[in-house]
Amino acid sequence: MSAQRGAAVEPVPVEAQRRGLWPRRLPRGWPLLSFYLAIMAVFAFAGIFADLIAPHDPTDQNLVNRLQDPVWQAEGSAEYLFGTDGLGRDIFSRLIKGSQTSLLVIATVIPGSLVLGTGMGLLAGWRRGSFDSFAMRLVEVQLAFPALLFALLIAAMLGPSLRNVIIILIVFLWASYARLVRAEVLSLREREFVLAARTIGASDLRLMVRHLLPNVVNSVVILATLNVSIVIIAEASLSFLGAGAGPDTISWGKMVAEGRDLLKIRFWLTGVPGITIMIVALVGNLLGDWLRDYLDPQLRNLG
Amino acid sequence: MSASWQRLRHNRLSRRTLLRASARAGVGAAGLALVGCGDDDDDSQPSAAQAQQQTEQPQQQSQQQTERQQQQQTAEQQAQQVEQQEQSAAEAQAQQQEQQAAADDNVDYNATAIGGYGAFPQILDQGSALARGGQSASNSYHYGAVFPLDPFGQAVTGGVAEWEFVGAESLIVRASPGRTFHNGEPITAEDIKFTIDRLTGKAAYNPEYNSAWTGELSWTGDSELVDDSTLRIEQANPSVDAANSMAVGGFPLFPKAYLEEAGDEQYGQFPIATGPFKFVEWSPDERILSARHDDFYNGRDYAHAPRLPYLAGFEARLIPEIGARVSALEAGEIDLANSIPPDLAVPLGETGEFNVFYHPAQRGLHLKLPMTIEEDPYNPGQPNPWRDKRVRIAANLAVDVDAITENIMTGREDYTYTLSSGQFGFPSELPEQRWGYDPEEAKRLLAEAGYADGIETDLLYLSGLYTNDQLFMEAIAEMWREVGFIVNLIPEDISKFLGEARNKELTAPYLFPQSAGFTSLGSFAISVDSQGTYEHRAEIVSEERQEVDRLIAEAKTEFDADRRQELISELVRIHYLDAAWVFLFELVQTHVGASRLHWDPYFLQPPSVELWNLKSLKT
Amino acid sequence: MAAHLIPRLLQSLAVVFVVVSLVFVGSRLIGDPIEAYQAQNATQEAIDAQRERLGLLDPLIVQYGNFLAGVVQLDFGDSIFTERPALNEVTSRLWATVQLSIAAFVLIIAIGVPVGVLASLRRGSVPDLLARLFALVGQAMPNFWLGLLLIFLFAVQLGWLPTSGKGGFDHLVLPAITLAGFGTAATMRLTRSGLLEVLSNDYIRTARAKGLSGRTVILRHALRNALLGLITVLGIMLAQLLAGSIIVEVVFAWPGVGRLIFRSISLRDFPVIQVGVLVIALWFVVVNILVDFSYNFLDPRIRVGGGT
Repeated sequence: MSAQRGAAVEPVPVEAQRRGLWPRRLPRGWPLLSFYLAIMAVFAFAGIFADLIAPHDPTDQNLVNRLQDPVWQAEGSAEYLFGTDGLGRDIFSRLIKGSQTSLLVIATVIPGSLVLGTGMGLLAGWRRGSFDSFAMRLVEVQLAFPALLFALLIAAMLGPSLRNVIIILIVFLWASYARLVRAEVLSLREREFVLAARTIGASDLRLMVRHLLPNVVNSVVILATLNVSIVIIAEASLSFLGAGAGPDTISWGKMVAEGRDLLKIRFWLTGVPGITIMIVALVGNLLGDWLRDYLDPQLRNLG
Repeated sequence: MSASWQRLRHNRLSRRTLLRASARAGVGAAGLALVGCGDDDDDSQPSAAQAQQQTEQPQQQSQQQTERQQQQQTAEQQAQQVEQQEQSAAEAQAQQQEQQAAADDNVDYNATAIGGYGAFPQILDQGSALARGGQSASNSYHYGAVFPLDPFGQAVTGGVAEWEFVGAESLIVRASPGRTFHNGEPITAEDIKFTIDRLTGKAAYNPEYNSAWTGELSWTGDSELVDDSTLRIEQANPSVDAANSMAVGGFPLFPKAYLEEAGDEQYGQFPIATGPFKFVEWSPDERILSARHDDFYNGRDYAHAPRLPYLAGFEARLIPEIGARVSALEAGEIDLANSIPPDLAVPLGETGEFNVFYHPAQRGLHLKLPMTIEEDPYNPGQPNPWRDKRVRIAANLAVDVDAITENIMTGREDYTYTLSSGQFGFPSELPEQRWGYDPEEAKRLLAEAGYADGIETDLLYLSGLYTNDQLFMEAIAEMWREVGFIVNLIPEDISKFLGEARNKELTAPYLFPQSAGFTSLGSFAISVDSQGTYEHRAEIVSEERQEVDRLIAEAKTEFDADRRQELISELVRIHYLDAAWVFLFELVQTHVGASRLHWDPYFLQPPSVELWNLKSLKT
Repeated sequence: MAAHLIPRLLQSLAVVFVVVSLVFVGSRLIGDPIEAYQAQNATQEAIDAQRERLGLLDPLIVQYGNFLAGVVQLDFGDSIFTERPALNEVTSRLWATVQLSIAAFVLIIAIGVPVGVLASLRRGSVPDLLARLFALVGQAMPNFWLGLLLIFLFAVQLGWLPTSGKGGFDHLVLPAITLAGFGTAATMRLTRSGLLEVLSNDYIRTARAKGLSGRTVILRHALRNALLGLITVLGIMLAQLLAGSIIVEVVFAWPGVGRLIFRSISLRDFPVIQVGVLVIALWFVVVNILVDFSYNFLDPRIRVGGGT
């Protein structure tokens, strides 16, 4: 989780002309985009309707049937598409159910850290002065504080649970938004439209919400898209260290962490959830890249 | 393999008794691998061993010695049985070759070996409770107990000292001449006195020493030197296990002069003791180098354990990840990978390039039930459902132990009934009354007890402490759910859990090991007695539990072996039939070694104690 | 320059102070190890005596005061488990972790930057696509999984490198690659996008129009400007590699600080947790200051201390 901040401070040119998020006609590269979106839609669909579409009960154990081969192996059967795990549970069904957990984590961590970080960044950039230094020191504390160790402390204190994973990830990610938004606001506040709004006596709140916020939304959305992969992978890393969700929660990260001992002889135990994580993380990143290229026409027009 | 497996699983012999007998008869691990599969006990006749133990024997000798003799006789009978079994097996030929290979003249006495471990001790002082911090594998092979052990785990003479009971008042210990510490200094009665003082917090140099052994030595009172080689130890709390407590594998014997000079901190970094291996050097978190203690007092022909090691040197390496440990073994960087899950170990063994070693871990796993707590922690004001015997029986009937051991574990695990079959005092008829697996009956009992809607409960365990623990705990939780328990399975942090257990703050059922070793009365006092350190807090103690407590106390001072055996049988019977715990199985550890290594379990000790028995064959 | 340095240092010290204080309180909230690591029949008096000796019975604020007083004198207390100075426990493992972090950082720069440059120059080409794919995959893999796969492939199947443990240079390769995986991918992407952005700027066009060759433009102007944007990110990466190496240390049996702190949290060895986190925070702060000054070096227009 060390370098994940990389994405956070990726320079988004503030001077670039911006487009709205909602295009009036099909954007360039739309076939690829719809492919990405289709994958994300499958993922979201699986998450939302997990209980309806899973072929087996994902918690249903069958010790005699444990560690069944997946369908592409000689001894596999279509009944268990991806085989069964160490307790004879259907891996395919667990994968589907696990997407629910990932969806839940993404749907709470991304907005949570985004709102917290953007709010801090807006205030810090706009107000400057002591609040700014306070906020920036807080960001520095967060960056200097080893995130995994913090996670371990929380897990030791409260026990492993999905709720704690969500708290840890929000605390871990908000600072990247705060830094980004603050940097943008610092340059925006000197621009004519802001100065004009100020001179006609707009309130601070109005200024921030009506004038500054819309101008940082694009970069924040790009960052949020890129953070999707970070969230999924961080959840897996926490599971590896025993600070992940509890045993009664099914998650992709835990599936990879739990199957890793048998990596050599039963690759699919980690391979199936691991590759799923990779696909979703990959598409998340590609979407982020696409969005940046799209929202940032200067770059897009290059070459 | 599977045909013989099918055939042999019908052998009506306890694996445990077989194990012991075979150790006595010198049958190797390969032999055990064939005979030891499958279920046992539940429908077996009382074995010859137990029948024999009931017979009259003259009592005038030291009781300890009498027991040992009885057991040795039966061991020989069992050994004959083992041999008959093996003759009848088609694999007899192959086994003989295995044994031949393992015979001592093929052993390379100059060999060294490297073993990969999942955890390391923080400090190397086995006397300290801090050395047990975390999930550490011990370096107990550096330590030699005061008395050696026979295959039944009974203290025997021939070690660094001899002993003699003076009734229930005191124990006389005589240091044997010519025994030395690793640094060449002779072992004197003064060292033994110093050891006991240090371990009971009475040593003058540091009375605050955090000893791990105060429980084992709780019988001791003052000790005094009678002469240079003789020590008299008062029995403040008389215990029949007094001598046994100083024979436990890994029980440390300290050199007084060195330790007083070095101090605790330095000793924890550079231990000098009496064990079969002597410490050479270590890098914490990385490796521990040891060499054979060539002056070890018992040669390889000694009948009991420990003996002079076969290996000239041993290096322990810390490789926490199981996958990395196995990879290191396959890459030839290490020779032995400790604690490998059977799912991974068995295929490795089948390649023919590696040997798989199965060592009983001396731990009877069970779920402690909060039957002594008055109120239901989930519904304050309501009576605790676990006080109802029907609920506890249902919890036992719900768990299919065979399905777990045969599918998730090695299939060699023995049942636990508080004690395991073959331990001293095990009631031989108890397997006939085993709770077994009957989910329908469990549901019926729950309904009858008024809990048709289920019972809500947490279920706690220490994650990652035992091989596959998460798997079998998830399996148990699911089995409980199927009969109507509403289970919230919680993996616990070890420090938090142990602290809470000691403080009696836990109100939910939890997984715990009962020492399946030999000082059963000592371990009963800790974890069967309703007041024991790791039992739930005792608010309401049922009549049955009170009776068990009374029997433990009585047996502890019953120097008549037959009578003591009856007392122990009785308390085990009551405890088991009261369904005070959910009785699971005795853990078997699985290790994988290079094909040149052979490692037979000798007695039921954690494998690091038995490192002396690890052999490397000539290639 | 000193005038800027001093406030910067003070601010950084404040950050370290807050981090260490948070850890102090946080670790006290998880309970002490005294109950857990006792003989089975230890009496409550014996347990309390040990707490007394370790000062764990004092009110939290007193413990905190004692701790700060110790820090000032560079006395961080003894490890509860080894009874040796906690500082020694950390420093004896520090070099292993620093070695690993630096090796990973070198890989990040040596691979991430050049590949990123190449990818940006040949935008849309096959190498660009491959580099982007690699970067994306690198960022989309949990690193314990990557580490185990690398062990299996390069140490067991091919036998080129040792599986785990610390030793010669060859022992460093796989853990460094694993640790560098994420950062390399991120750096590659950042270099590429940063360079593309700079290349689109007017002055580059001007330089090109003035007839400077493509290579000179890239090396003298574009890359240098792109590097400026990259350096903060690389700084944070270097700073966080130290703390981020726990997982790699576990997988590769690397005897470093990350694993020490990991275990100390599980054991509740407070003094070791505190020193460990202190060292990590100091490292972070020092690297950040260095980053600020390297800004100064690369671009004299940016003054140290002049805002983030």
